[in-house]
Amino acid sequence: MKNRHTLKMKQSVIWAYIAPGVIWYAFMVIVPLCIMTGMSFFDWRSVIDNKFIGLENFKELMEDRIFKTALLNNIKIILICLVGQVGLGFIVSLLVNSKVLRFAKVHRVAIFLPVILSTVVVGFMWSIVYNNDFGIINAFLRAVGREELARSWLDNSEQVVFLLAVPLIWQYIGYNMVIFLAGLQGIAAEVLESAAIDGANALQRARYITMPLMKNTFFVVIMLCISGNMKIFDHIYIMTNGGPGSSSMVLALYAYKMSFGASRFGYANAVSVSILVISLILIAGLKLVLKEEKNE
Amino acid sequence: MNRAKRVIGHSVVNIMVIIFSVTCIFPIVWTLYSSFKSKGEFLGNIIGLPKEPQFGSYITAIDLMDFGRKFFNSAFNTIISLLFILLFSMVIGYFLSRYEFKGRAVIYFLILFGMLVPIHGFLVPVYLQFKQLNLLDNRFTLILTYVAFNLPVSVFLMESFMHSIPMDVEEAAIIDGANINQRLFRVVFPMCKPILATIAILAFLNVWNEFSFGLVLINDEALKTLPVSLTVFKGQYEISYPNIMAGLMLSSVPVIAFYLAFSQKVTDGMVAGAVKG
Repeated sequence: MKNRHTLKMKQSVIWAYIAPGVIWYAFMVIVPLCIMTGMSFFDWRSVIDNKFIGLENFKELMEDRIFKTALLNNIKIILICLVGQVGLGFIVSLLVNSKVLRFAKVHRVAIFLPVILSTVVVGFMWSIVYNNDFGIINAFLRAVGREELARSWLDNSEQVVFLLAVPLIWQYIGYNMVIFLAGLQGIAAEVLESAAIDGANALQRARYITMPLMKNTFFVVIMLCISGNMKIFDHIYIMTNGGPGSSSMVLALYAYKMSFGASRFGYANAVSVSILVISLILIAGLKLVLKEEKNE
Repeated sequence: MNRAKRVIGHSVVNIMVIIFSVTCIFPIVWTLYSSFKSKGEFLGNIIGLPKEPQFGSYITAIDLMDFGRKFFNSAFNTIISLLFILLFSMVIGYFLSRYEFKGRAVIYFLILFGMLVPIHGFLVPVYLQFKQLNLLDNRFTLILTYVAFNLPVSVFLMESFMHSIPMDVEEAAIIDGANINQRLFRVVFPMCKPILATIAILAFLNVWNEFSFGLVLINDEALKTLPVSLTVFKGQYEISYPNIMAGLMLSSVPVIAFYLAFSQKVTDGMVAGAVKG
C-alpha cells in the first residue's frame, strides 16, 4: 500500500529517530547471523582452539546419524502437526463457528487457554500426564481396569515423537482455531446459505466453498506450523531431552547439545545454519505451491 | 422426523465441542487441583479432587524456585522490554509509513527477514556473541534479545495500522507549528493506542514465557527468570509432584489472569500478529 503523498523531513532527522531501534535490531539479528555463518566453517571449540576447515562441518552433518534423526523428527512433527493443528484446528473452528453451538464464547476461551501458557509449563505438565506411576493417563487406565495398557509412555523410542507432538497440538490448536475463525468471518453468509438451499450439505459446503475461499488463511497457518516446528526446543528439552537415546532429538536441541554439552561451537553453528536454510526452503516451497494454485 | 434429526445434529455438535473444550482445559485444571494435595494424598488418589486442600506444596515450591526474586526478574525484563518495543515500533513504524528516506527499503527487508527466519535458531551464535562481548549474566542481557526479537512483528503491525489513519491530523499539526516530538507523542501516539495495545499484549506473552534464551544466556541464579526457575524440578520427579504442580501454577497465574481479564483482546492480538505478520 502506497500513500498518495508523503510528508517531508530531513533525512538526518529521520535517521536520528529510527537509528537506535535499527542499530539494536541489527546488533541482535544481523551480527549473530554473520557469526553463525562464519563459525560454521570453523572447527571452533574455544577462543584459542579453532581453525578454518571450510565445508568440513557440513560434510560431517551429511554423515551424522543423529543429525539425520533430528531432521527427520522435525519433519515428522511438522507433518503430525499439519494434521493435528491445521486439519483438526479447521474442523474445530467450523464447529465453534456453527450457529447451533451454545456458549460459543466460553468454548473459545477454553480452547485458546493453553496457547498463552509457557512452553516450559506445558512440557512439565505433559511429562506428568505421561508419567508411569503418577500420570493421569495410566491412572485412568487403571481406574477402568485396563492396567495392562499402562506404561511409561515417553520411554518408548518408537512412539516418542508422536507422543511429543500431542502436547504441541494440544497447546496450539486454539491458536489455529482463532485464526481460522477470523478467516471464516470474511466469508459472506449468503454464499453458504445459497449453497445450502441448492442442497449442499455441511461437509460439501466446507470442502467446496469455505476451504477455497480461505486459501490465504491456510497459508498463514501452515507457515506458522512449519516455522514453529522447525525451531521446536523448549517442550522437548523439558519432556525427554532428546531421549530415549537420541530418538526424540530435534535440530535446535542438537545445536544446543553440540555447543553446551560437547563444546563444538563450530559444528553447532553449522546445525543452526541448516535450520535456517531448511526453514527458508520449506517456506519458499510453500509460497511457490500457493502461487501455482492461484495461476491455475 | 426431520425435526428429530436436527435436534440430534445440534446435540452432536454441542457434545463434540464440549468434550473438546474439556480436553483442552483438563490438564490445566488437574494440575491446579492436584497442587493442593499433599504428596501422600496425590500418590493414593491421582484423579480425584483433594479431600483436604492444603498449601504446603506452594510454600515448598516458592522456596525451591526462589519465587520472589525470579518473579521480580521476569517482571523487570517484561516491563523494560515492553517500553522499548513500544517506543521503537511506534517510531520506526511511523517513519516507514509516512516518509520517503534513504535506506527505507533496507529496513523493510530486514523486518521481513526477521519475520521469516526462526530467530530462535540464533541461540548458539547469540551466546557466542554475548560471551565475546562480556554481555552474559547482566541485568539487561535478556532485554537486549527480547526487544530485538519482538520488533519485526511490532513494527509491521504499527506500519500497517498507520496506513489506515488519514494524514490530515498530522498535516494540521504541522501547520499549527508542532515539531516532530510533539507530533509523535501528542498526535500519533494517542491515535495508535489500539495497535500499541495489541503489540503490548503479544510482546508481554512472548517475553514473560520465553525460555531458551533465558536458559542459555543467564547463569547467575540471581538473574534467572521464572520459566527457567522451573528447571529445578527437572529430574526431581520422585520427590513430589504436587510441588512441581504448584510451581507450574505459580508461574502461570499472571498470564492466565491477564488472559481471563482480556481474552477478546488477547485472541484478536494474536490473530493480528499471525495474519499480518
